[in-house]
This record gives sequence, structure tokens and C-alpha cells, in this order.
Amino acid sequence: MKKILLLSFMLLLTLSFNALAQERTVSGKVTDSDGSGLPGVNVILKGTNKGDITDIDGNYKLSVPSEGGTLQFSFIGLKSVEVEIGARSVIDVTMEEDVETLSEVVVTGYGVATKRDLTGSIAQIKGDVIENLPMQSFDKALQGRAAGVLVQANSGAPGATINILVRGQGSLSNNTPLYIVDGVQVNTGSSAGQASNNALGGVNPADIESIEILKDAASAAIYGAQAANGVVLITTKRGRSGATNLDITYQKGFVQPLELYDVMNAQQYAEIRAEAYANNPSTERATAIGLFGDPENPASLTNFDWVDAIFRESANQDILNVRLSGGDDKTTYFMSASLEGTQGQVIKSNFSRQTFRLNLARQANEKLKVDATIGVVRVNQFGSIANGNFVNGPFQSAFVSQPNSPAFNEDGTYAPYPNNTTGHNFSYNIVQGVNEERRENFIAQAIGSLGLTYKILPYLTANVLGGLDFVDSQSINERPATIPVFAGFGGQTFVDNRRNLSWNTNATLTFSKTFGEDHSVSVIAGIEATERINEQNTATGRGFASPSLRLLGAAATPQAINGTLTSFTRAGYFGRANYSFRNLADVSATIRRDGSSRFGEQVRFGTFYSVGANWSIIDMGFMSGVSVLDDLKLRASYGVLGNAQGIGNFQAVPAVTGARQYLGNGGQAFQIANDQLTWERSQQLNIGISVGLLKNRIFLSADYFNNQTEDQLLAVPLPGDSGFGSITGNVGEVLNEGLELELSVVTLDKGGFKWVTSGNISFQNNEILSLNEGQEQINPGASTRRIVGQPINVLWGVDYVGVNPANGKAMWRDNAGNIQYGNFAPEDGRVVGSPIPDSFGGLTNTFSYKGITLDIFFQFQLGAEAFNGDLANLAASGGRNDNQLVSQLDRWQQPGDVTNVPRAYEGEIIDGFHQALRNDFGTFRNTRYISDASYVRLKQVNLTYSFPKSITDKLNMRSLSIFAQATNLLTWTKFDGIDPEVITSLNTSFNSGNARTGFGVFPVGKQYNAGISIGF
Amino acid sequence: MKKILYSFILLSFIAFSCDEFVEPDPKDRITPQIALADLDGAEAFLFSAYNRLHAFNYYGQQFHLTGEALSSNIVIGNNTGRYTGAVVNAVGSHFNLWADPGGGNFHSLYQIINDVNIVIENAEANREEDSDRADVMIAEGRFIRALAHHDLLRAYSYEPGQEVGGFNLGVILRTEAVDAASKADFRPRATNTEVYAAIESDLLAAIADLPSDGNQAAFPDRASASAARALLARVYLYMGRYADAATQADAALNASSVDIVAAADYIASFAATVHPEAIFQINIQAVDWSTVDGVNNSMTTVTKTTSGGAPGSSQGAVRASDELLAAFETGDIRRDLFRNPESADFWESDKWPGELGDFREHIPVIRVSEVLLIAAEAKARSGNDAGALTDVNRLRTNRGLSASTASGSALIDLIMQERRVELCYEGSHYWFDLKRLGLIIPKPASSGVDPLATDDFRRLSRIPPAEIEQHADAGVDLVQNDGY
Repeated sequence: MKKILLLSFMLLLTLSFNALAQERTVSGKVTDSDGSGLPGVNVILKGTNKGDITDIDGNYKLSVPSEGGTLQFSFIGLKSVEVEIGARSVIDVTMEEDVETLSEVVVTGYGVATKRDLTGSIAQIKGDVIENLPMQSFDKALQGRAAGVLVQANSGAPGATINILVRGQGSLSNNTPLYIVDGVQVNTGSSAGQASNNALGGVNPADIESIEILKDAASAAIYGAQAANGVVLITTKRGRSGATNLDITYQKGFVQPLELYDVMNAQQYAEIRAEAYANNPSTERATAIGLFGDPENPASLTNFDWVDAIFRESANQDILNVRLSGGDDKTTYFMSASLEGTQGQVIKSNFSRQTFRLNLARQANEKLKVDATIGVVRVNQFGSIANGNFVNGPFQSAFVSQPNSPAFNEDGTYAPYPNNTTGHNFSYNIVQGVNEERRENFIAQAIGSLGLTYKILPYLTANVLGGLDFVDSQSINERPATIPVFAGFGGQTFVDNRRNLSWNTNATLTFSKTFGEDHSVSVIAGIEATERINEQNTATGRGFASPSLRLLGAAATPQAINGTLTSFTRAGYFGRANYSFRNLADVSATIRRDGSSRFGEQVRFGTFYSVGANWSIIDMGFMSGVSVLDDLKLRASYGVLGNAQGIGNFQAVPAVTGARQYLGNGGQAFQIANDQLTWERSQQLNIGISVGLLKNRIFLSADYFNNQTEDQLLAVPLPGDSGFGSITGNVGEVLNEGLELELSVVTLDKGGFKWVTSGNISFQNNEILSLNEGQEQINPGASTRRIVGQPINVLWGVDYVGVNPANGKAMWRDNAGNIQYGNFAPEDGRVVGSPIPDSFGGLTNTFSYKGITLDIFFQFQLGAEAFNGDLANLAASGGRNDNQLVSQLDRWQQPGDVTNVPRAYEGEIIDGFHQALRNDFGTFRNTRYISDASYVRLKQVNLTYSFPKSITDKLNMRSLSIFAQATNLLTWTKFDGIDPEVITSLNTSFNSGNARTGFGVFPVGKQYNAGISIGF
Repeated sequence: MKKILYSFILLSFIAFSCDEFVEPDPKDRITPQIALADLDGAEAFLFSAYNRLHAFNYYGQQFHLTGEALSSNIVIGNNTGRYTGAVVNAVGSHFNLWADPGGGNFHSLYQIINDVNIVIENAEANREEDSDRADVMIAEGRFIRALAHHDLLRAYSYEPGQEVGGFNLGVILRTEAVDAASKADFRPRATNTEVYAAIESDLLAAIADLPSDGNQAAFPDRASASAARALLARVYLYMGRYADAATQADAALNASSVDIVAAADYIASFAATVHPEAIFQINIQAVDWSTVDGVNNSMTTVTKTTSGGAPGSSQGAVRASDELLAAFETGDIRRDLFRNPESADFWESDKWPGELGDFREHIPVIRVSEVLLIAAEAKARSGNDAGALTDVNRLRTNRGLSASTASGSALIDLIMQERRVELCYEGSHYWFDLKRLGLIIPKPASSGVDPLATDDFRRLSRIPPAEIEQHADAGVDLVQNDGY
């Protein structure tokens, strides 16, 4: 396959030098309104199939009949021009921008189209919207800005991964969309180990020209086997011939934490602990006073604010972007460089990145165009530990560390933690740990592509593209012996080297032709191959002579080594045909046949397809009298797409792997496999309507989608006594349907003042239609169960009734209505919520007056519930060694007290029943810790002032603007954790569809930035 | 021009042969045919099984302490959330051996059983390579299978003759390898006597083929004939077959090269890298643990507040109960294993000092002192007081105590008392002894928890509810233990 594609490259190169002779010609130059040559313009002799496409200078040459004839000039985004040839042999033409359609050029799979010709559903976000947003990866910018695209941060750490769902969750295994940057299928997920590092951070958001999200079958089917979760196409900026433009943008900002948990001070903590010890017959109040201090004698207590010591009051951010673009007749270029330094909200957490990009296009000769892009990125990240309930995770430990035990001695050195004998938190002083442990990532990433376009005939173009995404990362964790827990083995260094290579190459042939006045046809056919290789090698060494010696080579003991290499390949052939009848209707059909190495030999290939059509009712004759409508169009599409993402690379291969050892002899483990494993198949239906009213001042678009995904790649449980937990099979079907509404209104446009409101909202319904062989549930007995008739993610729990006023014990109600203290069977629970929001979206209001623009952007999700695991530590009525929320002071104290906080009781187990059902966490979510995760967030406020030309001219500048922006300024929510947006569990693999829970997560922060943009 | 079109058409056809390109190319695994083509391959599964014995839910930690917490030998030291349920017999806080608790060094006992089932079938299949070697491998596999089945049975089922309300179900019996999903059938529990019969048959076969201590190069890290005899003696004790238990215990004592240590050497014996009394132990190497396994889950971190001279890095989640400390007679050298470095009433055991560094040590599963006490108990219960006294006094005199002259039920009580103090913090013997004899299970006075009556449902562990539901979905009735 590789060879074949290489061959086709060479073939095109050699063929491209066969110039073709013409007898008698008309020629000329096509220019834009500034007089620059326009390359790529279609020049057609009207009524024939003769034509040409302008070269890089805008020149064309065409053989014409000796008399008469008309030339048609057309280019996407420009108004078409028709010119009678007459007797002329040179015809120069100036083409003007078609203001109405300019913004409507959209990138589709392996091509571009105008929005009006689309039969499918594509969301587009233009680069200027996200250009100056202070975020490390572009995926974050999609939040609330594209209908049907749900974006949730996995962590508030700078540079962290993002969870993106295009049209909800159709798969029980994996819902990650396919990302393609300038034709390169790129890596997703985290590319390093010591802090979440978003592989998509390899593209500087400021370099992006546009992002297109292919949402339905008609638009995504061209990517066949991996299109079911949607496709995100990222196109970076290109140069334009003409004057050289230099743009410099600098912004500075700071980040502040959201509202953090309000935890107890030393006196409050001593009080509730003394009470908890007194209430438990096996412990005594005097013991608690000995350990935590005497609450009656506040003067004897020292108080230390751990939260204050861990979180920064304000973290700094600096971003500098420099861009140089321009070009001449044959060559255009876009170069950019950027520097970013961003601190996280907790001490030591920071992110710095340098990016460089060069996009170069060269019209080699009349026929051949070369388009090369390369983006190189270097990231250095100092991270906190990953999300989760870890003693050395600041988002757990800052809150639970005992306030009576200071982090520092009087001389400023780190104090042993805790200062009593409770051994709390593994005796890990989190302030010392965060300061002295090194958790650092170094990442170098290059994403590059080379494309050749060869115009065989005016209507026939061949294209070959090769691209790769290469990530090399090193993650280092050093645990010096100065931290008591690591002293026993003399400190430790862990080095994790990873190399991820993803390459793909494709060759396409595009035919595009207009027949007569009314019929135009375009057909594309192509082949593609892709491979992804992930390699990881780690080593751990222990025992260092000095805490300053930290390299592996200085370690006394080689503790552990590990190495893994895994890969998959995929290859396929595809074709698409579009037919347009006047402006009235378009019909498209797509087919792709794909094979993946992840599947069983007999079922490795799958065929995927779609059909779509649109009908522009407004252009029908009978609509001519309806003046209130400016646009009315219907779209419909149906297709079958695939998903191969939810499984490991070798799950269809029955195999034996090395595992464990005994007495130095290598052990083996059996990998039970399913050699019939094949694609998830998603049947996707889309019906849409667009309406323009009042000279398009009001534009409404609505899409209904109905996706049914069958053959779900799902772990089918095996009996535990078989020695295996589960086997992956193709079972079950999921329905995912929804409605997406987009509205944009020019609310006011008067006297230079313009107010534009645009918003989108998506409603979704997610339901499991069937599971394995008529089973009603999978994972029964677990809190992550999947139930037919329910959304794929549910929270299974028993209802918290409150505290029995008579004895202070927590009471729960099972699904039969019985109130008990505990001892529930799994089937006593019920579905108490789902973290899948019922609806989500965003609303932007843009106000502009002269050079001033104010953007106010809200983002929301409604109808979602979340389990907040933090409360298991922090809301335990003082029954744990963890510091507690101040709210726990409302605990039950004497008969008759009515409260929701149970009696303080050391160990939390009263008469055998845990007050938070903690022993049953694997079975139940306790509704005491579940809350409504709906929120509305004032996501972005941006104020920009562009100086008028009169001033910029004096300053010898092309443009000058200053801006100020605030991110996550306000949030309205009932969620009882820190941040309803970042709800993710440490056990939740990326997008795996498991119920998301919050436990020790890095929340997002409020961000304030101000900056300046200068163009020369 | 046609050339190009033809080339593309050609390309498309060639491309259809790209089946080769999408052939998986795993570097980290081999096919079962290659992996199990010889005795070496089968033996690799034996190493996997030995390794899994030190799972933290098994002999790595919880199997030693859960019973201590469920009865009255330990109480909470530092509240880290560990054993807080078990010390108050909270519903569901119990042994956890059935299903894979998931991740790292936690394993289901059935994973161990399946490993050895693969060994047994494939050693048989490759017997022509070296018949004697195949026999030994099969014997080691059967020893491990018997150990795992018996430990499951002790946790989840009543012993024959001690059934409450006639509830005689044992555990699920697995004696064939599962190497494909089709073999992972859903099946019901066998009766306790059926499982005991399978255990006995495994051990009798193992005794016949296992090498003696002297011929087992890896003694006591791998199974020997004396280890299998000792285990069989233990099994007979649980079955109430006291005469057989005495015979096997005596045979084990005669066959084994290890002997009881003198009182003067007792304290040091637990700090020795190989316990001198171990007839069978599990060897743990540094590579077997993740970098945090020691501090998170080792016996040392759970039972001690200090380790490796670094104060505070060990959790000290549990400490000895007043009742356990009171059970030692004056002068008992074993009482000196307990120290209170933290505070006057915080007594921790030095039985698990982590002498190999980073909380690590090898784990004795059967010590010769247990075999001696099995012999004594079995003889006392079958009317041979003289033999019983000889055995128990051999232990007592090596533990700083005087020889006893008790007889009858007083002698039995003395032997049970010896079992409690000799085997505390090891293998949950006290809990299992009370349970197998149908006795009330006392709780520490400080716990405020009532003793567990002889018919209390919490004497048995709960079968994972998910397993019950999954079996039900598959149309198989996996009976949950009463009360859950």
C-alpha cells in the first residue's frame, strides 16, 4: 500500500511536465478588486466542456472557436462573471467578492463547497472567532459555538485534554471524533504522562483559518470507517499573493480559581473530631483532643490554611503571536511563530509552548500545484498529578489536610505531616510534595503535509497527499528523599519516553463539470491508507546519594523497566458524486470501503455509504411572490458509518502475553479474544431546514438527527469464576437522536451601531435499545451499569432520605419505597440521574459601533446530574481524618435535630452501616453526593477597539487594535462541587462513555486578559 | 492522458489487495499455539499463578487481616478507611476473593485457578517432552488449585457439619482451562462436600508427584510434598476428619526439613528474609510491585506506623486489640513482637517488618508451627491427649512457656488459644477456627459491636452481587449466601 501511494506521487510528478499544445487561443488575466492576480478561477467556454483554471498569477489560456462564444469565470466566494469574447484575443477580468456567499465556503472531506450546495450538516467556526482566545488548544474554542457539539473540559490544567462529543454519544465504547489537520489524521488524547497534555495542542489556535465539523452521514461518510463520531476538519491559514503582511498580537492575563470548597479551621475541626470520637464507643473524646487539639481552648490551636498554600491568588499568562504572510505570482506563504507561558491555579503548575508554522504553496507550472504545511511545537509542562483521589493530588489534599497541622516549621522548613499520630494522607505534606516533586513533560510535535494537485483536464484534477503527526514526549517524575514517604528508598526517578507516529496518505481524482445551463456534476474517487504507532518506554530508579542527584544513572537500584509498542492500520477506497440542478437542488452519494487491522480476519472490511439531497424551495417559481422569506431550504441525508475506536489494537487476536514473574522466571497470561470482532455501524438520518427572513436579518436553521448505532463494541461480562472479566463483542444498539437549532438575528443595525445575536441549542435523547442477546443490563451490580431503555450513562443509586431525627443516622430509600439504614442489594437501587445533558448550547451577543466591538458569550448545559466524589472525603460528618466542609457543622447532635448531615461518628460506620454507603461505592451512587450539574456560564466577554485608518496610516500600520477579555467570569449552577464543567473520574478513560464523576479534579479558572494586535 | 486514467484504475485494483496492509502486527504477544507448544510455555502460567498468590486481596495483605478484623484480634489504629468496615462487621465488608477487584496486584482466586488449569492441561498435552517434569508441574498446579479452592470455600461457605439451616453450597468448582469465551460457561455452586472432594483429590495427587523439601530447589518458594501434606492436614481439620488430619500433619512434620525455632530466635525469625519455619512461602521481588504498592498496600504499611526508619511513611491502619494482647500468657516470647512506639495503647505487630526494603518481604503461607498445632488439635479431638500434649508442648517450650499438663477439653482450649496467639496476623486463622467449629465470634469490648451468633449471616462473605445478576441473566441460579 505504501509503495502504491509513493508510486502515484512519482507518477504525477513525471506526468505533470507533459505540456499540452493548443491551436488558437484567447488568454488573459483575472484579478481581484485590488488588482492582484486570482489563481484557481474556473474559466469555461459557455455551453462546452472546454475550460481552464487560472494559474498563480491569475492567467488563463483557452482554445475557442473562431467566432462568438462567451466565457464564464467562476470562483467560490466571488461573483461569477460572463464575458462575450467577440473578436478579442485577450480578455482581462476583474472579479468582485460575493459578500453574501464569501463566508459560506466550507471545507468538506477532500474538497470544498459552498454552504448552499451542502446536502449534509456541517458546523463551521471561523478562525477570527478563536484567534485571540487565551486557550492552548482549538477544541476548547468549539464550546457552545457549534450546534450539536458538546465540549467538556477534562481538567482545568493549562494544555489539558478536552472531551468533545459530536451529536451526543452513539457508542458505548468510544465517542471521540476524527480530527484532521490540513489533511493529516492526527493523534488525540494525552501525549505525555505527568500532566494531561492535549495532543491537539500541537496546532496553535491562532494559526487556524477555519474549523468544520462534519456531523451527519452525508458529510462524514467519505471518512467511512471512523466517521460515526463525526469528523473535525482543521484548516490552517494560507498566504495570499500581494503585499507582505506582518501581524503581531500580544496579550497578558491572569487566572484565578473559581469558588473553592469552604473547609474547616482548626477549631471547627477539633470540635467535630472530638465529638466524633466521643460518639463512637471504641474511641474517646480525650484521644481526639490529644490528636487534634482542644476546641474549648482556641488559643492552644495553630491554624493552617492548606487551600491558601496550594492555590495561587493569581496565575500569569503571556501569549505572543507573530505572523508573516504574503506571496508573489507563483508562491504564497504563511509563517507564524508564537510563545505562550501560562501558569495553572495551583502552585508549580505551568505550561509553556513555542510554535512555528510554515505553509507554502507553489504553482510549479500550469498544471501542477504543490501545497506544503508544517507546524512544529515544543511544549514544556509542569503538572500536578492527574485528576483523582490521590494523597499527592493537590485537588484532594489541599482540602483534606488537617488544619491543626501546619505545613511549615517556624524556621520555614517543611514540617512533618501530620503533627499527630494519625498518619493521615500517608504522612504526605502536600505543600512540600507539590514543591519538591518534579512532574514535568517535554513534548515536541510536528504535524506536516505535502499535497500535489495536478490538473489533467480543465474538469479533471488529480490530488495526492501525504501527512504525518509525530509526537515525541518525555515525562519525568522525581520524588526526592527529602519527602518522608520517599526517604525509605532514598528517593525515586521515573522517566517515561513516548513516541507516537500517525501518518496517512491518499490519492484522489476529481471530476467537475457543468453540462449546459442547468446540470453540474462533480465526482471524486480516491484511496487512502493510514497507520498509527504508539511506543512507550519507562524506567524507574531508586536510591540517590543526594536529593540533588536525580538522573537515572545515579540511582543505586534499577527498580522497574517497561516497554510497549502498539499499532494499527487502516486502508480504504472511496467515492462521492454530487449533482446540482440549477440552484434548485443538489443530490449527493458517497461510498467508502475500509479495512482495519483491529478486526477479525474475516470481518476486517466494511462498506459505508450515504445519500443526501437538498431542495431550495425559495428558488421555486411559486415562491416568487413571498417577499418576507429570503431563504427556505430543506436538507435530508441518510447513511451508514463506522466506528473502530472503542477497542484496543489487538483485541481480535487470541494471544498470550508476557505477564508477571516468579523467582526470575517470566510468566504468561492468556488474552481471550473474539476473532469475529468488527465495526460498530451507525445508521444516521438527518433532516434540516434553513429559513432566512427580513432580508436575511433573521436566519434560522434546524436539524433533526436520528442515529442508531448497532454492533456496539462492548465488553460482554464473563462469569468471574472463568478467570476473565469480559470479552469484547459486537452487541447492542444505541439510539441517539436530537434537535439542533441555530438562530442568528441582526437585532439592531442603525447609525453605525450593530447588535447581532446568535445562538444555538441542541436537545438530545440517548437510549440503549438493546444489549447482548436480550439482556436487560450489562455490568449489573455495578454503579456503571448499562440498562436497556436508559441513556448509556446513568447514575445508579438509592435515595438519601436524610437523617433520622431520633438517632442521627443516615437513612436511604430503596426503589420499593422502604427506608433503611443500609444493606441494600444492587437491585434495590434505581436510576437517579444521568450525566448526559438534555440540552446544551451557547449564545453570543455582539455589539459594534465604529471600531468598538463587544462580544458577550454564554455557554450552558441543562438537565445533567453528577456524582461529586470529593464529598466522600469532605462531607463525612467529621468521621474521618480528612478535614471537612464547614457545612458539616450542621451535623445531628441530639434527638430532635432535623438536618441532612448525620451524626459525627469516628469511622462513619454506626451499628454496621456506613453513613455514606461508602462500602457500596462500586454498586451505588449515593444521592447524598449527587447534584444537578446543569450550568449557565458567562464563558467569554471580549471588548475590542480597532483604531481607524486615519490613525493607523499616521503610525505606518495596516491595522491596530486593543482588546480585553474575560473567561469563565460567572457561573450559575446548583452543582455542589467546584466546577460543573470538569466532572471526570480518574478511572474514566477518554470518552469511554463511563459515567463521569468528579473526584479530586483540576477545576477551570477565571481568566482575565488584555492585549494588542498590530498589523504592518 | 489515458495513461493517467488507466493508472488510477489500475491503482484501484491493486489497492483491493491491501488486505496485507491491514494485517495486525502485534509485537507484544504471541499466538497460543506458539506460547503453549512446550512445557516451558505451560510452566510460564505456573509462574503467573505463584505470582498472583501475593495479590493484595489475598496473601499479599487482606487475607491475613480481614478475619482478624472480623473477629477480635485487631482494631483500627489510624483511620485510613482500611478495615473500618470489617472491625464492625459492616454488611459487605468481608473477604474479597471471588471476582477480580480490578487493577494492579489484585486478582480473583479464579484467575489463579485458571492459570493452573492451563498448566495442568498443557503439561499433559506436552508430556512426551519430559514426563517427569510434566508430573511435577501438574502437581504444583494441583497444589495451588487446592489452596485457592479451599480459601474460597472457607470464606464463602460453611464447613461440612457446620451448615446453618442445612445450607451446604460450596463455591463454583473450576477444573478445566478457560482459554476461549465459549468455555467460560455460567455454572452454579457445587456443594461444600463436592469441593472438598476435589481439593482432597488434588492434594493426594500432588503429594505423590511433588518433590521433597530437599529435592525442591526453590523450597520453600515453590510447592513441595511436605507443603501439600501440611495443606491436606489443614483441609482434613476443616472437614472434621481429625484422625486423617493428624496423620497428614505428622507426615508433613516428618518429611519437612524445617523445624520450630527456639524461643531465643523467635523475634528475629520474622525479620529473616526467609522465615526459618516456612514450609511454603510466596516470594515477592521488587519488580512485582508498582512504585506505590508498598506504601499503599503492603502488610507492613497496614500493620506498622514506621518502616525503613522513615517515621510516618507507614500507615499503621490497624493495631492489636486489648483482647489479643490479653490472650498471651506471662512470659510468652510472642508478646514481645508487639511494640507501642506511637502511644501507650497503640500496640503494633512486628510480624511484618518489610525486611527486604520498601515495605517488601516474602510471605509465609504455611509455617511448621501451624502444622504442629494441627497435629495437636487433631490428636486432642480424636482422643489422643498424650500425642496432643507432646506436640503443643514442643511449641510452648520454644515460645518461652512451660509445658502444659492439661487434658480433655482444657487441652483443646489450650491448643485453640495457642493457635490464636501463634497465628495472629497470619491467614485469618482465628476467624476461620471460630467459624469452622461453629463458635460464637467475639468482638473487642471497645468496638461496641455484639458478638456474632453462630447463625449470623455475616459469618460468610457475600458473593459479588454482579456475579449473581450475571448468572441470573444467563439463566443460571447462582445462589447468594443467606442474608445478603
